[in-house]
Amino acid sequence: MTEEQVEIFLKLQPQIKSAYDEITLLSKKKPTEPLNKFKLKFINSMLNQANHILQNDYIPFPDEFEQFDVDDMPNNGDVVFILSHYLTSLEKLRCDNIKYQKHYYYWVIDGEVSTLKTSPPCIK
Amino acid sequence: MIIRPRLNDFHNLTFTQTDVDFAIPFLDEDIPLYLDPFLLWKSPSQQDNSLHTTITNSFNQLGNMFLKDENQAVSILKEISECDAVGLGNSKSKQGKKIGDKMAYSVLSTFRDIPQINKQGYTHFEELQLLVDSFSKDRVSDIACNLLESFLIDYTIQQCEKHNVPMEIVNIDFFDLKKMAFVSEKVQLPTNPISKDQILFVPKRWLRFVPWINYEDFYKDYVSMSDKLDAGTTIPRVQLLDYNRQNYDQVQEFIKRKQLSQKDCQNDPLFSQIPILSSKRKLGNILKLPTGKTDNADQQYEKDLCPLLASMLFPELDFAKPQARTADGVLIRDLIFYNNTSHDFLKEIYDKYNSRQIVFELKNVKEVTTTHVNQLNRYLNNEFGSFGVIFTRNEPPKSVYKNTIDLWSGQRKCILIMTDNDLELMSQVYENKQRLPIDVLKKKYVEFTRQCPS
Repeated sequence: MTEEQVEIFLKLQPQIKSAYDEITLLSKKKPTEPLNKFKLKFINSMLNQANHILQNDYIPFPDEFEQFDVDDMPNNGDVVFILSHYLTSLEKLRCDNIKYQKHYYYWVIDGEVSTLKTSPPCIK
Repeated sequence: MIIRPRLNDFHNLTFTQTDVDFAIPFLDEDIPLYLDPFLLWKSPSQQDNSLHTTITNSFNQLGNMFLKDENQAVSILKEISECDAVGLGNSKSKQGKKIGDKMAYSVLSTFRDIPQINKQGYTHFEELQLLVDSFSKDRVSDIACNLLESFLIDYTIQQCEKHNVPMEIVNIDFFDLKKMAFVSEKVQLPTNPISKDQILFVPKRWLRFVPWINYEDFYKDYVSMSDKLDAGTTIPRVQLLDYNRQNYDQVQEFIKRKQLSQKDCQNDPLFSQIPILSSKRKLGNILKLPTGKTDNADQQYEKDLCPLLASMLFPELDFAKPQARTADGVLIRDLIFYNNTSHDFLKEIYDKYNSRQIVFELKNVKEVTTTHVNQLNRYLNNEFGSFGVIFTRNEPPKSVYKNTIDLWSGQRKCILIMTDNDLELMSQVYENKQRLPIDVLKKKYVEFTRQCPS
């Protein structure tokens, strides 16, 4: 990963996690309720950025899904499903780009182990 | 020829009723509302208040004239008793009848016979409904419109310029309040393209189904409450009106009460949505209904679905009317909406399918068939463009869906088949307000176009 990709990742992952948590709450109450256009706009923007750093190797459904179509009126359940897959893919990307050295995990940037610490991998 | 055409539909102007300040006139029938002068009196707008004063003063002046020259006053009142240009009321023909000599005389004679009116005149001339037999709400409205005609002409011109409604130079006779006589003037006004009559717009905020001061309320809320009246006794209308003329202080007392409760007096909207609770109940009824005609289920389906759709699709689609017609001995109920391109989807079907009005066909059948699709297809002609919707209970069989795609491929006609599931989704978004119910229609359209050959 490049430094820019790592920077995007560090901002994006918590954003998607936060959206996922928020919409999971909605989904538990009303899974079939369509999400409004306002929320969809921001979710699509996050998914676009995620697609940019995940690229074909990590994108969950490379040929079937890129982002939500507002006209399809996706519901809470649909959005939770997709976001959870993106969170897993992002974590997989992170796990493949970190290295354990001197009791800590560090990001590997441009093929070199950087000084940027990160948490241990959740997916082996 | 479109169904129940309105002025803007004729001129291809895309504003909806919600977008404009005036009630959009129909071309071949009246708007079923009346101008209520009380709304001008209670309005917070100083302009409306002064217009109310103008109405009252002019009417009282007419009364004064009656005391000096009966014939002239009677003839003026007859003339101002009908105002066809505003098109308010329940007339199907847009042509009203003026009052006769006898009625005009009884109206004006209140200035002579009732001492309080003789001295001070009227504050609310709609009180006449409580004094003179057959003086009804449409007379109140028409007289008020005539007395405000000069203002309404300016208002109409202003609104036409604002919304690009075409106008023509016409000769209009209106009542000049200074001269207390009719004068003729050349002005630019919109005209009815069918009858060529002049059209005047009336602000929506002045309109009610029934005037705030009316005989029914007087009887129900005032007379019948009297402890002097034995329970269950009814007083004949004519007798009560006669009593009122002899005891005008009773009318004044009622008017005082009405003035005190002015907060409750609101204008009536031209269309009001059904509340969410009621919409859920209607949806519940529909979902429980059996298909077919058992126990008149088909009629119940129409009865519940018509108001539900009209409310859910408002204000993006203005409801035109439910239309019944007979084909092959079967009563088919359609819902027709004006398409005023107020949503990107509606703009698309207006441009692509030339749909100035959208027809919805309601089919309470277990399985929609090709015959149903073809029926609607025959209906899609110049008046409705090439876009239509069938509302039915279940998903159509593949062959029927394919038939709609073939219709698009061959004739570029788009027929969407909506089911109970779509209706549930529409009702859900109507309730939760997260999306618009019309988005469900668009969703179905997008799904349909994806299946069409490119």
